Amino acid sequence: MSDTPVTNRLAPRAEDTVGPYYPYSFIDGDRSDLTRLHCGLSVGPQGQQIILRGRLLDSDGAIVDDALVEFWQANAAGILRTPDNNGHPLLDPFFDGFGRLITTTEPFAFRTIKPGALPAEGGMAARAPHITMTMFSDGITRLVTQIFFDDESKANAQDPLLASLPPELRERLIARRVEAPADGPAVYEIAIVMRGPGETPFFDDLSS
Amino acid sequence: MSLIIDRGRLMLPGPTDGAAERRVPSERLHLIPEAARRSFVPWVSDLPGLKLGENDLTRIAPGRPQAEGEVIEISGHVLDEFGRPVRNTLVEIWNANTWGRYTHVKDPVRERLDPNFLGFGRTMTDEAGRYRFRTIMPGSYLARPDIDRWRPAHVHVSIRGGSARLIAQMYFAGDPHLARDPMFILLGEAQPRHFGNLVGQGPRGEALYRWDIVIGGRNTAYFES
Repeated sequence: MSDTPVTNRLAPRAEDTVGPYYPYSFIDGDRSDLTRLHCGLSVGPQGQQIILRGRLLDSDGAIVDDALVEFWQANAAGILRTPDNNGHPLLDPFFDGFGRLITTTEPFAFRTIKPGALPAEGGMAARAPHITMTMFSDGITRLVTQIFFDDESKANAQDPLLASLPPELRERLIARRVEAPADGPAVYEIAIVMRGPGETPFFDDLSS
Repeated sequence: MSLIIDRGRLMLPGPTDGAAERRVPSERLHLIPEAARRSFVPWVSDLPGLKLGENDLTRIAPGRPQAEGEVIEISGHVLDEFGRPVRNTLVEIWNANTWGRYTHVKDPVRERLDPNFLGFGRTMTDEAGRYRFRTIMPGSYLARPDIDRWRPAHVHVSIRGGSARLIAQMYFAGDPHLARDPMFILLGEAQPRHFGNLVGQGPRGEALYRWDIVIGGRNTAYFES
C-alpha cells in the first residue's frame, strides 16, 4: 500500500467474516417470502410471483449451510425503494425489495416478485431484471453479486453489468426457469459457486 | 489514482478454520460499471421493532439476575470515511459469555453456559450516529483444541440499515491470545483500529470502551451522492 495517496479520510474498519455463530434470532420476521409481508390482507405486491431456488456451493460442490443471504431488488415496475425514489408513483406500497434468510443443507427458496427492468435515468443505463445477492458465512467476508433471468435474453443482452463480463461468466449469473405447477409461482434455479470450477463472478462494491 | 485497475480486490483465503479454503473466491472480484452501480446499494427502510433494553446484554429480562462476569460498556459512533454519521442504522453485536461460550446451538466449545446471558443485542444509532451497549467481557476460548489455537476475547458487530453494511470484530488490547490469532494477524496495519479504547469507569465500576466504527466504500453515502 506504499503508493496510497495521502488522505484525510478515515480508515474504514476491516470487513470480517460473520463467523459460525451469527445469532439466528436476529432473523426476526420472515424475509424469505416477500409476497406475504402483509399477512391477513387480501392485497399484496403487484407482479408475477416467483421462487428463486438456489444453492450456495463450496469448492467441493457441497451446499454451504448457515450462510446469511440478503436479497435486494426492484419492484415489478423496476423501481428500487431508495430515498431518491421517495414518492415515486410506481412504488409498490406492499413491496420493499429486501429479503434475508439463513441457508440450511437444502437449497434455499426465496419467494418474491419478479423484478421489472430498471428504466434508464439520470445518466444510468437501463438494467435487465435482476436480484442483488449478498452472502455472509464462516470463512468468507461479504460477497456480492447479481442474478438475472434466462427468459429475459433481450434485456440481458443490453445489460451493462453482464456486458462487463466475458461471455462464459455471464451465464453463471443467469437463473434458469424450471418446470413448476402451472397454478403456482414460476421457479428459477441458480447455483452460486463460491470457489473453484464454475466459480460465480462476484463484484467489488468497495473499490468501484 | 493514476493507476488503471480493471479488476477488484482478491479475497484472501480467510482465517476461519476449514471453511475458508472451500468458500473464498479464487478469482479477483469484478469492478461494477458505473452504469450498473445503482442497484448494488440496498436500502433497508423496514427495520425490526426494537424492544427497550435490547442493547443491554447483561440481563435477559428486567428482574433477572445479572449475567456472570465483568460488565463492560461499548459505545461510539458509526461513521463513513468522511466522518459523517451513519444515522438510524441497526447495530447488532454478539459475543461469547465470560467463559468463552456462545449460546449458538452450533458452538461446540465445552465451556459452561450462563443461564442469564444470551450474548446478542442490537440497537439503532441516533441522529449523531451514536450507539451504546452493555455486555459482559467475553472470555477467550479454545477454538481449535487439535492445534491449541485460542481465539482472543472479541465482540462481533454487524451494521445493517439504510445502505450501510459491515461485519467486523472489536478486540481488547493486551489479550495474550492476540499474537497467535490468525484473524487478528490478518488485519495487519489495521490492527489498532479494531481495539476498543478503554476510556474510563462507569458509576458501577464497569469498564467503558469506546469504538468508532468507520464504514468504507460508497454504500454509506446514499443521501450525499
